[in-house]
Amino acid sequence: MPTFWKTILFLTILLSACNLEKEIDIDLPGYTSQPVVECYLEPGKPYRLLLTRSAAYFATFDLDDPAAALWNGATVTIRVDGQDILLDNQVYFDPVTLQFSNYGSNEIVPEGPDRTFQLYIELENGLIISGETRILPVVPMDSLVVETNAQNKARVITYFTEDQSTHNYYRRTVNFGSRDSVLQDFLVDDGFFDTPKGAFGTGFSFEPGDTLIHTLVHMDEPYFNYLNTLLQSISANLNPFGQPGLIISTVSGTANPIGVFTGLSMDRDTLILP
Amino acid sequence: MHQHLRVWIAGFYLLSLLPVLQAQRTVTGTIRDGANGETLIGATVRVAGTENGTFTNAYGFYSVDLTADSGQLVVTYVGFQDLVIDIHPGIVNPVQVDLSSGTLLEEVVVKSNSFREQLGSTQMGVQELTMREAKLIPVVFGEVDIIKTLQLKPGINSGSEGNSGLFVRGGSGDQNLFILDEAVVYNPNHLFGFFSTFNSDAIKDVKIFKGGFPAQYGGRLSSVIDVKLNEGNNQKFSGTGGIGLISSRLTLEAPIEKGKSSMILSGRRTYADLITRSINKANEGNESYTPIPDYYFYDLNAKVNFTLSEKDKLFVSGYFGQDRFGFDNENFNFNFNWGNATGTARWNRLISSRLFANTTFTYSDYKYQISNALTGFSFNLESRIRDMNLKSDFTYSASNDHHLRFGGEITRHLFTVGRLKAGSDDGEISFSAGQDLEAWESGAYIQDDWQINDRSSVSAGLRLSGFLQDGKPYGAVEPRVAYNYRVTPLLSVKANYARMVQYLHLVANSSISLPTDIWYPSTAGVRPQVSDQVGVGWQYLIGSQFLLSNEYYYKYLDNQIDFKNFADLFANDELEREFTFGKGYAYGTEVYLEKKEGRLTGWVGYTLAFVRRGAFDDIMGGRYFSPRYDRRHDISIVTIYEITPRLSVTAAWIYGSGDLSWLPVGRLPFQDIPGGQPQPVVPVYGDRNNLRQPAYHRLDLGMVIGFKPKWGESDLTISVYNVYNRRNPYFLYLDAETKTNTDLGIEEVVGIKAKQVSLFPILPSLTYNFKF
Repeated sequence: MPTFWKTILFLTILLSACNLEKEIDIDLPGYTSQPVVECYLEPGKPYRLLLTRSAAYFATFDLDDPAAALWNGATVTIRVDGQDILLDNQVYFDPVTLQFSNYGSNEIVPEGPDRTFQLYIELENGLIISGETRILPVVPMDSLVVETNAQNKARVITYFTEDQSTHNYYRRTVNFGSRDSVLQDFLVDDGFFDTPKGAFGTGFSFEPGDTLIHTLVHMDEPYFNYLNTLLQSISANLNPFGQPGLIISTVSGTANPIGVFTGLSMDRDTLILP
Repeated sequence: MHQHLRVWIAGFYLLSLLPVLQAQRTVTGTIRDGANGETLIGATVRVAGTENGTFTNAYGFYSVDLTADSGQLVVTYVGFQDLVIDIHPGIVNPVQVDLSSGTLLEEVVVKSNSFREQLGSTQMGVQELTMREAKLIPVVFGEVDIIKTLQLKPGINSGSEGNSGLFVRGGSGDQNLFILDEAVVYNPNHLFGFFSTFNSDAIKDVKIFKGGFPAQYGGRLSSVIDVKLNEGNNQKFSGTGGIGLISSRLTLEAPIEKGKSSMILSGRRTYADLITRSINKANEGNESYTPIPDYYFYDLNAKVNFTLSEKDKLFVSGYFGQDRFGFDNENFNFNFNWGNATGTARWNRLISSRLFANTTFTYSDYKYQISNALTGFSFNLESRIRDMNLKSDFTYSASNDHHLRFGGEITRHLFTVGRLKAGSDDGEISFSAGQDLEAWESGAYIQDDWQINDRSSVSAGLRLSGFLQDGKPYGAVEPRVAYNYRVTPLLSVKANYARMVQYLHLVANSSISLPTDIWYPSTAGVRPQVSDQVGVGWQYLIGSQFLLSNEYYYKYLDNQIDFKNFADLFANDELEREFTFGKGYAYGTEVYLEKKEGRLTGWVGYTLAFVRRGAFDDIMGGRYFSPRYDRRHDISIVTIYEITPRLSVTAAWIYGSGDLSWLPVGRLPFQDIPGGQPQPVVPVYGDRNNLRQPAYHRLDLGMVIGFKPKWGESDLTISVYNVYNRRNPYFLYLDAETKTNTDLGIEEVVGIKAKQVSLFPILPSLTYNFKF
């Protein structure tokens, strides 16, 4: 499929070259801002949560006050093992992962697939956001196999083995050179797997010395649905054949939130091509 | 009381059949074009000096009663010279009649009723298209396309620019029955709907029914597009063809046995791939060059017919068309092919002077296949529908006032839905999905076209349909009735009602026709779609050359299918879990002024339409919404002016209210996990189809210059599509402008703009056509 859609993209660009695209004025229906939650619980890492607000599509951007998009003033609690962990409302920034958060705690996320984590947020206006998740076991990558063609170009195939007794969802990304350069990003539902062995491959695009960061995320169904519908919403805006839809959140509540509260189980490996 | 009423009606009906007993003689036979032996559909056969008469049916057959042993019949057909036939006692049936065309240079005109005959007909909601209109009216890239020409008629919406989809009277794109020589065509499009599969050189007759459906048709809710292929010249070897910007085509016809049997072979192929291959070859070795994938499509039509006896005729026809998209190199082999194949074997039998039978076996196959092979791995996805249909249709002319049609059919449907097979060549890794389904569909009908008196006529029919899938049966009674009252010789009023039931459903998540759209049967969990349509209207003959029609319709739709939020329709073992069911309604009015004869011909059409769908559990909490094709106003003005017999000019102006778009109302930022893909703007969608696009309009001009070389005829067709270069909307999207924050290394959004993408600017084209 990629080549096919690349051709469509090529035709779209060709049309753009014919000046067949223009800016127009439209009036969209009114929209009420919603709170947006992003919280990934990674075992061994401190609790972090990003609470922002959505905006009307044409709302102006205040570049001088990027914090205007943050939703502060809420009381955020995560309950695990019968203990409530209160997250402080302050800005956290990790220069390695480039991750922002406006709520966090120095408490460390415990391991264990049997633990249930419950999110409870009370906004300053009394409205509630809640969610519940577990941290799935990591599905490790079995091997990264490098193959080279006659032109001395290499591809990498990622092999993994999955538990066929359960319904699993995966996300596989390949970053080229550094984490902020995403080369491939696939979401997979294992419902079509006939064999326990799975594989993802790249094209013959790489040369000796290239650095590739491979990540395999083991997701639960709510997180898979959230990410899948979010990516499809982005795609539908740009694709004349696409069908828009509503983002399926993993959180709910009287605040009518959008967002994700999930465990993050991932295996990551960096490979420098020989 | 009610029983007495029924007895009275039955008695009245039987009395109306009495003229059968009074007839002295029945004359029967077929009407043909004398030049090539093609049977003529809808030719008038009238008893001289009276208003009594009949029309030839879809196979050119007629049956007419004389009150004496001898008399005269007058045979008329637009574009041909009238013919008076003396019937004397010695003449025996069948009486074959060959008409001569009125003007040698005139394009073969295939047209049914004259205006006066239309006034007297019960039929409403039907549009006919002459091949002359289709060939003269300019279309994009100069490619003659009967579906695009039909879109210029009132009540028929294209869905989007350049698309061959049909949205008829508020019906969705899957509610149209395309029939090619009696066989169903499941995907009548090439290249995402920019071209239809019908090659106009091979076509004899096209009719589209939008309402008032005759009982012989069933299986779709909103329209029937009945396309009949030429039978082939049984007098001499002949050919037609053309060379255009996109494709070339050639049709050859020849008698197998002069006057008795003939064959026709017609082909069309695009040739953009030949150019792109040359470009790719010229860039071989250039590492920075990305090769252009191959794409082409082709159509092949073939038909032979044999006259087995004076009363028996056999026809065998077939269609095969494919779109092929491919991209190959040493490490990567990608192919995406789709297409239809149909076959028809038809036997016409004149059982008696009053009874004509047509028995048909058809085969129809639509398939798409995507295959991708990478070193050591492969991927295959296929969907398919195959039909085998057997049917018999009978026409019984009880008298000049009663024409009965009855028949039955049975179809076996075989479905392959989203059959996925992928994995490694060594079998260690394997993925699969898909369903294979089977269903049986049947139908039986009877209809009487009854001329009650000089002013009134009625067509009353009943269709019984049934469907069986995996032990789950469905059945329906589908009444059809149409009434015509001639108020004055120039004015008639009409009314009709039709129930239609649809047992097959198109799984398509877009208003644009895609090859990956697949058909799915009714099952225990998917009930058949149902529509009830009523129509009223009037027709007024202005002078002798203009016919003004006005129709009003209301259509109620039940068991409508839509798809849940972000439904996965591509490869899914439980596809129907993605369905959601609701209702709909549509209403509107169509005004149509037409001129068919003289040097200036054409029409003006206006449609005012409304359509709503709702009560879907999974869409907007069951609230009603407008589908994308809910176009409020549609205007088309089409003119053809014949300056000289060898020079014609054409103009078509089209205006339509903008279609609806479903645009996001909000946006949110998405940071993603470490190493993921942060998105500064994620669209948040609200209610469906929340914005009307700018209006659509364009002007097309064309000119046909005819030549008369020694070997036959030829013409040069020059057309200009979208003359005033209107940028019509194809789709809208919202574009976020971003800039990189160098301090933080992240993308920041600085503004949002709404963008409109158009498809076709002004497009001149040139086509050379020939005929020998």
